[in-house]
Amino acid sequence: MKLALNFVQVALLLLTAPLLRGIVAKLKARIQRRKGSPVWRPYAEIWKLLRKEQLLPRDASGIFQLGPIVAFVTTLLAAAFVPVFQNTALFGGAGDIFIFVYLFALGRFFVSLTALDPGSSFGGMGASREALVAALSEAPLLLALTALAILAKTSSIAEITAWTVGQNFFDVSAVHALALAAVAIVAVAETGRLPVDNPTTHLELTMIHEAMVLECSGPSLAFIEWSQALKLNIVAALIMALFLPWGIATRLTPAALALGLAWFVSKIGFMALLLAFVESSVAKLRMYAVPNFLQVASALAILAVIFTAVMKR
Amino acid sequence: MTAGITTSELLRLFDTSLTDAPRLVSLFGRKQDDHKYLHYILDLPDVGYREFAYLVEGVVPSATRVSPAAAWHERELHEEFGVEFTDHPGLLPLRRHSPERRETPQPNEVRSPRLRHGEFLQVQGTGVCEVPVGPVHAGIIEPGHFRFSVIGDSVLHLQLRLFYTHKGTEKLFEGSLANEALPIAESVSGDNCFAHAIAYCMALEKVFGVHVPQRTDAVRLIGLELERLWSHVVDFGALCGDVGFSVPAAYCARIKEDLLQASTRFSGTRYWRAIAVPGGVTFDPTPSAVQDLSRAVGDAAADFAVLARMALETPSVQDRFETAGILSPKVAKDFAVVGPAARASGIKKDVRIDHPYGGYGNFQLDVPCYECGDVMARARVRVDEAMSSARLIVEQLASFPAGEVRPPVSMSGSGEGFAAVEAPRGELLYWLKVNEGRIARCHVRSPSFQNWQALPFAVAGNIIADFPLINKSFNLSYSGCDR
Repeated sequence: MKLALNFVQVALLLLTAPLLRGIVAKLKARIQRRKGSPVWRPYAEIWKLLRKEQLLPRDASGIFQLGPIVAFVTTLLAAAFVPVFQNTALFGGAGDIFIFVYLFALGRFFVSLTALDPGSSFGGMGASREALVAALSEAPLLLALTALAILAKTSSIAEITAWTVGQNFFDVSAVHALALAAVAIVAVAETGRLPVDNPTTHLELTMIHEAMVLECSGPSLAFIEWSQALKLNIVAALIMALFLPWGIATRLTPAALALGLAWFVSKIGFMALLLAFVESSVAKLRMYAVPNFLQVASALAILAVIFTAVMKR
Repeated sequence: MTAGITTSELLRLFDTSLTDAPRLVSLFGRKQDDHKYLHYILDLPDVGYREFAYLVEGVVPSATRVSPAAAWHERELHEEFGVEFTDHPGLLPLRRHSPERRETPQPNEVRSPRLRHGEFLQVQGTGVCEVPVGPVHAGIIEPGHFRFSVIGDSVLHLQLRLFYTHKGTEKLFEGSLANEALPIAESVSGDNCFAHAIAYCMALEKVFGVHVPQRTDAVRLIGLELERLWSHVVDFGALCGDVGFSVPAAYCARIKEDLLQASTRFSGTRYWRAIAVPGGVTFDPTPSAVQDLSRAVGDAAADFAVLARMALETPSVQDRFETAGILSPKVAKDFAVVGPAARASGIKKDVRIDHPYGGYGNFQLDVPCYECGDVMARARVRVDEAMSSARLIVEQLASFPAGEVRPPVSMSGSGEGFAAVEAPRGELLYWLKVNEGRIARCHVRSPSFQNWQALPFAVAGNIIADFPLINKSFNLSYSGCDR
């Protein structure tokens, strides 16, 4: 039963990922007083790309085709570490916060290789920018997770969730606030959203993620797009599991599960709204201001770790 | 108007030690009976536009050394008319990007220090990379190739390769009847089609000494200012869009659409195509149409004022706009930059004030001018100009002169003349020579042709990721430049 539910959680994250993207796009369009495209459009897009022919750049090697698949698989594996509507996950155990972070890093590494492989100038530019963002966002994410792990006395995401649910919501510590701020900043960088990266731009010189995948087409592009959408879903689910897990099902009764699911849907809907508002109210950062932005996350995460020492529990 | 002059006299005019050196407006060639003529059009301080014609005999001294603004004009003359210039820094063709047949390099050939045809200047040094961009871009925009030499993300040097959309437009004019060539003028740069049509008509009116009624001038003024208004609204929206600030971008698109629909109710066309004719305009607005347009423009201007203030007061937008792409007043002056780009770099020049035409003499005009020369200054110039255009339209609509709009004009005979208007991108000049009612030569000096030369100087020293924003803040037309 539990195993089946854990599989359902992964499938849920995977299958609703394009929908979340569509909802954010729809909300942004409504804020701009446009009608916007239907929320189901990302599904149509992935379906279209999957059936299209794959074009290979002349100088591309096998890694060009391998990269997007690795990115998709690693992201899918990362999804299996996050509790969604009930407080266990498919994979879990001591140290999985590290595995989680480095699965993302592995996926990104392969997307960067895909970008570099054809030898086009934009791919290289995108890959070097992505490497910069990645190097600067990895540390704050790890530190923030470590701070929570110290508090919960476990380094498993699912167990941290289980511990947090047992706490009083009004009892949240400064550690949580600091870590949440750090993870929120990293989440923006990690998923390539404004103000770090503009996912809807057509200006190749300003792109980070989009520049890396300019050469991709057909199924390769579908895997990249889907894994990018899935990443947004995972990061949203992770923030909920670590910082706002209340409402998650702790017992396996149908009523508790239904309630957990309802809480998940409403929380993720709220996050989509928040994301749409943030993305509509700021301009993209200058490229050299991005490290400063991520430094803030690092500082917050370091403070979070320091504060765990003074939190007598 | 045309004065014969020797080139040495001409070059003395450009003496840069004088603070008020003349501004090169245009330089073009003309062939007549196996003779080549060069026409220099200058804007002399306190005098106005002056045209100097010069018969080419042998090699011509280059004006580029004294006025860099002549660089592209002389390259174009060298390519199109085979005129040789002495002492030009690089007379490479603008349009034929590489030699027709590839000459095989000789093994022990000494490389000349000068650039060869089809080559880019190579910036040397450790860590310098070349980034080629275009002519095909990720978005649906006009073609242009940009060659960046960068260290990391900083641009050391930018080279442009344009003229992919060269259509031989000036040649297309030749031989057609003067009043039938209007559609060609309207399609030189589609988004500023009314300014082009009016400049063409005004040049023709100069040639034949046609007098334009006041009511026609009023309609033309409204059309020109409407075009400026929506161009600036669109440009401002595009600037916001380029920094990922999508809400003002979407609202600007809405305001533009409102204006286009109001324009359709007023004139029957969205972009004022086929409205201008030599000596007149093709429609006479009714009083109710006048009222309707006045209300629509007032509403659009009020919306835009609120929106622009909101966007420019957003810290993240200020952070992107300020200090990005600074065009120094010196570079702007050297390259004779025109339009909003010049007025953002402290050069307060506007054809509407300096050389009033049509109905502009009747109005008090506020021309904004900023000193910083960055993206923010160019954005602010556009916002202020949009406001002043809206005011001008409303004022003109309130005092609409009576009379006819399209008196009959006869256009037979010969002559030459030129006229300049302030298009949304800056000073636009048409020079015409008419023979027995047919165009013998038409020269179009679009503002973009002049301003493109200065763009690389605004980009150097910035990061490459800011290039699209800087480029958009100039918003130059490729089609208008390439012709």
